[in-house]
Amino acid sequence: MKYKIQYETEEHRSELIEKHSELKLVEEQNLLDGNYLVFTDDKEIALEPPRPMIIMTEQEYLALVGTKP
Amino acid sequence: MGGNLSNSYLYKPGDNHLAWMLETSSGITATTPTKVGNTFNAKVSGNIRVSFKLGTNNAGQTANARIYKNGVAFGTLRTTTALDASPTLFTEDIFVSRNDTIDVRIWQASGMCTLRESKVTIENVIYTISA
Repeated sequence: MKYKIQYETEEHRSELIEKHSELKLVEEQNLLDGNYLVFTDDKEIALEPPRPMIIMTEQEYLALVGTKP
Repeated sequence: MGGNLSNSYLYKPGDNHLAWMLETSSGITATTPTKVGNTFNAKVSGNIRVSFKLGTNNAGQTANARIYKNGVAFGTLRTTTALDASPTLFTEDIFVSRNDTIDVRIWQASGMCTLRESKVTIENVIYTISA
């Protein structure tokens, strides 16, 4: 869920960010009708880091796993 | 069109797409403000809405961005530690005069930062459409 909160001053902005530090700040809007911070409590999907590629010969592969791929 | 035509009564900041400055994304390694994407040229004066996404490609680093008007820093200084995979969206309404130029510049103290989808959007007030 997203939470859009209006702020008046830079000090107020900093207070809001500190107050809602458990949330992720995803948007900042400085519009003619006001300044806003948009937070979300959605959990980020942690992507698995790419696995290193191991280059080996077929003989080495067979020795390692026993069967052909 | 002659003179400094003011069209502030024809459009106002809104969310309807007007022009891309950068439709996709571009990552750069720069420690000083560096223009990324195209330049928006205002043909009439008025308030426009400029938005873009910013993220760093290096965990723990802070990516910076700023809107430049006519080659001079103009908008709010933007900073984020969000990674490029989930960048922060920044939106700002700014007034432009006829022949003003707008571009977005980014930089980072170390490593790479990425700008995504920088654009100008407005809401015209010339006509409306209803069901």
